[in-house]
Amino acid sequence: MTAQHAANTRGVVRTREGVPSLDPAKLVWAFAAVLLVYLIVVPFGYMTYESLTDAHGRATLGNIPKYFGMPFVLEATTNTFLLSGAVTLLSVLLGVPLAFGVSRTDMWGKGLVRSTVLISIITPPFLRAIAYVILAGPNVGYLNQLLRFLLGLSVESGPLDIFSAWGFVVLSIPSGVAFVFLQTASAFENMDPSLEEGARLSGATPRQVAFRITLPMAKHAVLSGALLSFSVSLAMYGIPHILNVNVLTIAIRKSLLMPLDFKAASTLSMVVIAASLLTLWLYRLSVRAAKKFETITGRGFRPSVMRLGLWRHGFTLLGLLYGFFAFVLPYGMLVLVSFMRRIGYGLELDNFTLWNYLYIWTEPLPRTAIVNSFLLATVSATVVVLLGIVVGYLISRTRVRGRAILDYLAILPLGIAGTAFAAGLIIVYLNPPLSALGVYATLWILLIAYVTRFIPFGVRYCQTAFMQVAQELEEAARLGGANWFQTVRHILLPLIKRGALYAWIVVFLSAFPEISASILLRNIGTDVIATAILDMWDGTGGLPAASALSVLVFLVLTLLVLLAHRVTGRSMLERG
Amino acid sequence: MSFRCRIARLGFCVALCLSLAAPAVAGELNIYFGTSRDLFDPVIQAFGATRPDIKISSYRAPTEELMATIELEIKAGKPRADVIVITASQLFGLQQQHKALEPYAPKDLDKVKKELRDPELLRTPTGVNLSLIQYNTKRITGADIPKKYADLLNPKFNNQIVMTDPRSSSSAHTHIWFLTKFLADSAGEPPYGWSFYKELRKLNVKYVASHGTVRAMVQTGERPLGIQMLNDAMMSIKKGEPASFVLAQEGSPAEISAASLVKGSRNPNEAKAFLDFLLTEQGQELMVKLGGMVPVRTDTAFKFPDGRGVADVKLVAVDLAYITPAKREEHMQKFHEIMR
Repeated sequence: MTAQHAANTRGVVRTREGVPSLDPAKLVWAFAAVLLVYLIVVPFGYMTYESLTDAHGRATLGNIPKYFGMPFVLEATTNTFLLSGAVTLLSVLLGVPLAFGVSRTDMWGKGLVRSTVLISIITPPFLRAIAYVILAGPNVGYLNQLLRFLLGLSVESGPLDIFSAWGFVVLSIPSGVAFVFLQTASAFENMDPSLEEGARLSGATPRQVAFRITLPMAKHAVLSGALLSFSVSLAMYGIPHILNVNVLTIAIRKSLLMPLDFKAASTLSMVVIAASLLTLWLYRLSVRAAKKFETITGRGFRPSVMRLGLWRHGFTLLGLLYGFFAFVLPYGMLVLVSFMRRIGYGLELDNFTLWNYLYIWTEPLPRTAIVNSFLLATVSATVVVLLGIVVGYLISRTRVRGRAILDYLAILPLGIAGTAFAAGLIIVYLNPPLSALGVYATLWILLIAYVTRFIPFGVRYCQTAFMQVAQELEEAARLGGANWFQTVRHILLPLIKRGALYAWIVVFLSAFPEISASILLRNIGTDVIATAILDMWDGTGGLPAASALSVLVFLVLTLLVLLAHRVTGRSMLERG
Repeated sequence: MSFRCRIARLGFCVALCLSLAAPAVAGELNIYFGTSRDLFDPVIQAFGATRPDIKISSYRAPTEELMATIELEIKAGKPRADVIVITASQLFGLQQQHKALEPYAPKDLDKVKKELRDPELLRTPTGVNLSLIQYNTKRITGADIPKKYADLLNPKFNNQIVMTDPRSSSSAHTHIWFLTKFLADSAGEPPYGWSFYKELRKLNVKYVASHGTVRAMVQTGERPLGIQMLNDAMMSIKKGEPASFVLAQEGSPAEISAASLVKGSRNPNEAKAFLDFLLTEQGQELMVKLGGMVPVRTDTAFKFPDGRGVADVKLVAVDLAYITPAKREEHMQKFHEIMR
């Protein structure tokens, strides 16, 4: 950063005479910074305290052996790490060839793969879980019936059992693949092709080129994709809830339930959080390394598309399988079931009806949930973007002391399981002094949870948007006599409008089907769409009505993505 | 004081007043309940129709989750529920641990069967729910239909049975009491006692969060046999799902469903009106027709789908003391040790 820049930004916080004063801009920043610290630090601080003290408030490290010695918790911990590891490994094995196929070969069905990646990221994974319970339930799942028929099996049950650890892995893979794909596809596309061409000219076969040149160059991108998919699996809630698989996110909720043990919930949460933060830190390191790699290779080239002849259909087949099992089949199933009267009667003609769509609009539970989700998603997206603009400005445009801390704080929530975070919020807002605010059991506590969880999106996107606007524009305005507010209002804000809008839509997309925090925080009149779907799954209205609500979620999210593409001219696939 | 400053102060005061004035508007009623919404929402709506002046809100979660919420709120000194409708054993536990309930004698209490009344008046009985065996009529037919719980242990039912997890469903504790304690004491012979669950484990029994999910699994045929409650089994029949049920020969544990007024309720009069309603003729008919339970009033007509009356069935009253929260933890540990 240049000295001139430094002098300029210092001018923002000082009056012309150089005497520090109460600049209104400072107040705005101070408020945003305090809010950010409050939202993030308070619940984490409280949970750290709970997990490191005994029942009498004395400091102790005994909680970890105490709770992790319980067989139930021990099993949950082992499951969490083993299963997340399996998801990550398989996601890399599938995601890297898919990314390579789409960005570098002449395979067919690239559109299907891209759409599936998009769908896997924007729609909540528990929708897939509901669909696969119907498809791969061991006794009457349609896939099992088909397999038994095709293979001539005489067994009553299986061969697939979705209610298992493998069910968790298989259902989590589409999300994992999507993250690996996003990271690696952009690496493949930004590669300098001259290295590959050189290898080809020296007589290497295409396979040698791929394994000796292309893949090694993408390894940092692969690593960061793998870390992202690991942290997403760690925090997964909806899938294990529906499949009844014992992982830590589920154990946190259960330890808060019957024994009502805050210390257990806090201790388990801190372990999940520590694991997520470590992953996140490694991710940031690997992204930095990947960036370095990309700059060396330079730009201005277009990597060549490899003509693989018949071999390309190996990629085509992989793409079709991914698209079919992660997108077409589960969502097709949900649509089909949403028109059924009683799922027990299956595909009989008089079993079809529009009643479920009427039901979700006339019954109080789904109707309240739809209204709440729209309200919460809209308000939290707006708050997050406003905070993001101020904090993003603070980080990228000023030299205020401590902004690096803000930068780090603002990314913290990315690594945190929603269940763990919600447990923290409950503890904080049910106990004095903050119990005086009365936010527990209201929409406010959900809003606090959503805003905090999605702050990283707002700050990240707005920060990037600010970085894209050249400093000279502001300087010109200031020289022309405009004050800080005028500069921001007439120069900066119009220029970052698109980035902010994009951030708004991303937050809305994440908040609308939020499940892992909401399931702990909901109360009278504060059900949201995801909890309503789970409630229906638990017996209210039944699976067909739950499917109808799921289809509605799917439609709203897809429409928004199309809108985002239209308005911002940016595909959702570009956010890596 | 400048104009702007005044506006700012006015705004602050308005915000403060709004935030303080939010609670305690007359004519409200908050109901917490644990059964499926399908079963209890219509009863609440019928009450709403008789008292349009009351703004009714309700919160439903599987019973054990509901209990956690209630206890959280009691600990914080802020119960939000005015009325809680769950099993009598749970209400019994709430009173034991937290003194959370307020006595009330509803108007028609004298019409209620004597053995169901609570002498302390803390619990208003609303219906009787029975444990039973639900089966899918398309997949379990003829001689395969079990007649007693012991029949479930037949190896041919491998991968066929579903039941609830005592960690999230409180009625699961009723099943546990009946199979491991009552039958072990009265019928004596194994397979009763905890060995019953050990045998079930060998058949890969599946356990889920609530009886609503048991119903869903039985009707799709994914798990064509379920250890179920009467109200959910009746709902299947009402909705025309391919499912029926058997009242087991060993007897049917009868769990009292009850409603209680919460101590410190902000709307005690509305809450009492609701408790009165549940015991009226209309309320009891609804508990039978929509709620799928056996009525508690002596004069409300009731027949099981096969035409039998209550007197023709062997009912066994659940021992409340055996399934209180103090013992629950122990039962759950035992259950999960076996099922792991």
